[in-house]
Amino acid sequence: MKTQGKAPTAEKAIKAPALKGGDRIGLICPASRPESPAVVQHCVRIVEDMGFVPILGKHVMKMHGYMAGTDAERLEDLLSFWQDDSIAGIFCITGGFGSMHLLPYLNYDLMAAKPKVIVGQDENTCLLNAITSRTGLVTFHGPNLDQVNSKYTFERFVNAVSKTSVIKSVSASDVARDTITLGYPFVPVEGLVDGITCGGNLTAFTSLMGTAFQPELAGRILFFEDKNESISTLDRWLTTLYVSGQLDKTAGVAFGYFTNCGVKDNFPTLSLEELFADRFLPMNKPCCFGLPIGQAKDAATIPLGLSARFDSKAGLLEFLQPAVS
Amino acid sequence: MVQTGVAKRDLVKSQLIKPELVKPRVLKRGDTIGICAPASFSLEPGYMEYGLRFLKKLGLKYKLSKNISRAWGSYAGTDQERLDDLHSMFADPEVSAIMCARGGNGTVRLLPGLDFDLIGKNPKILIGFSDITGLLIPIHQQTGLVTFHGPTFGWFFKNKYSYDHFVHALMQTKPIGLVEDPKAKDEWDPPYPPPRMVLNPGSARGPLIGGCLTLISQLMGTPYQIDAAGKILFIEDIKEEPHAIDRMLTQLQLAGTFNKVRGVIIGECLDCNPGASKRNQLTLNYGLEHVLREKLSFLKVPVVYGLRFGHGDHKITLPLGVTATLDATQDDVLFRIEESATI
Repeated sequence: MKTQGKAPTAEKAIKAPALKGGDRIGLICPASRPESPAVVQHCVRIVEDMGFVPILGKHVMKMHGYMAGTDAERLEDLLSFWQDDSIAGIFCITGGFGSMHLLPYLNYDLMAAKPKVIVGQDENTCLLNAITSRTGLVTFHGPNLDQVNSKYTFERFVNAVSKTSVIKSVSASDVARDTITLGYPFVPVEGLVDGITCGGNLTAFTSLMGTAFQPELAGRILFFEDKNESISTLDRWLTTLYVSGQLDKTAGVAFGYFTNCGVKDNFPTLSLEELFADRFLPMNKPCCFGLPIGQAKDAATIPLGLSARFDSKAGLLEFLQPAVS
Repeated sequence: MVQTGVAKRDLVKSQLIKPELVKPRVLKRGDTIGICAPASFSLEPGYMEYGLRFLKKLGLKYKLSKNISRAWGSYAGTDQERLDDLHSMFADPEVSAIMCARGGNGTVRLLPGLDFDLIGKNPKILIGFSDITGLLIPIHQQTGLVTFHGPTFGWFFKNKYSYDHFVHALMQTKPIGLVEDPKAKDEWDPPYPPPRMVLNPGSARGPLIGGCLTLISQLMGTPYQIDAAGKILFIEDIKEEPHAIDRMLTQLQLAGTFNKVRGVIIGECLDCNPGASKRNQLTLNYGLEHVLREKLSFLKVPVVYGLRFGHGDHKITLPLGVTATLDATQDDVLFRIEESATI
């Protein structure tokens, strides 16, 4: 199958140096506080198992409401690691809420001048997309460390941040076909498109709409996931993207896990797949559901801002360039 | 079969040209109310009877839209069916005012196909709240029509306070004037939040704009995004955790929505305390009041929390585009709708 339309390339993409064994990694909580110190210790061990040297941010266990410290404290952890030349990469410990508070205060010039690997997901979607859209730096939508729960998740994480050649593609069939809903994509619109990766948590992503940090969607291969949201709410956010006129300009959309996103009202409702598919059918926009992206046991790490090829029929996302230098 | 979506229309007005304020004609005895369901499906027919009885008491006739009893998922019919109903209510010369059967979800889905030209040529009262905010703000901003953030059909008769405000806003050309709180039964078990908590003192005068925060958030980044510059912004929500309110307020902050706002009024916000939404809970140690103070008390304009509009039983009807004044000192809050909402 031929790709549809001209392939955009991420010409301005800045790549962080690949992480190597023994590299020092800063661990931060830009959003909420970890559940317990046991979680933090667990995350430290995982980073050691990856072959890196974990350095904990000063404020990761601080508490300010539902956030891990005040905005100033969370910002300090992130910026001090970024300024520190001995720190090669930054991994988020957990999600929750709060990373979007930091966006106006980030030093984007510093980030472009000293590119580093940064990995996170859930509400940290705001942080990653702001950095990528402001600087061109390829950031990594991968599990927060408290969600690295399987060999697949672990290996894909390490592969994404350390491989200097093109990283492994992500496929619906990566997940064991042990139940009828896993392993085969649901494909409302078939198509093969090239584009630049963009996306993350749908609620967090759409909260950037209308702001000074709203990402460019034209020519993007979008991917979305979410957790603990009602179908009705998720339909609101997809509707925002549609009514903004931006969804029309995207190359295609891959949907990952929608963990615990069931019917929360007492009203009969349509499934998420029906509501979303019905959006894309009239636009004839390639899309599929079932990629291993998001908050579940087996989750791939996806570089943001990288040229990729999306085959919705196969449920396959291939990368066209290395994610790190 | 594809059910979603409506044929897209071009917007009538450029975003740069603000339309003149257009006031709908006042509702009189003998007039007909059109009832339609642009969002989620309607109440049980039996429950409708209560509303109809109260309309009769006001000497009003009614007309139900064609598809009002339809359902498509949790929506009251497909997007096209709901849009057709809304258009037919604006087009029908017999209909003097349009009431929405209920909120729920679904109005923003209609916007790409909404005929603002038809609405501009047939200005009439449109009233509702919650998801109906997704019509009230875009229609007001695109056509200049004063729209009404007030009860949906199942709510206007809930109590005398809501009913009186509803009747005054729609059936009198005299300005609503000074807005007072519902009378407490006695001094025991006072409601929380208090109806007028001053987060930031000050004085403001400007046209009203606002509605349900979730809908204001949902419109961000679209051609119908709220413009609160030079206005008094009112917001309310229901069953959203403090962090979700935080996210939406942060979105507005990062979009510059508060930059030129003259004042902010926050409604009752039912069940927006930690743990109340039964979903997506974060730590339970940070209340809504903290979030509101952290996000809004730094504004250089008056900010008041607790006025009774939105999802609570007691509802003020707030006309969008009509000039109001807000005077907040630590001792007292005076909120006055000083301009008439209808002609």
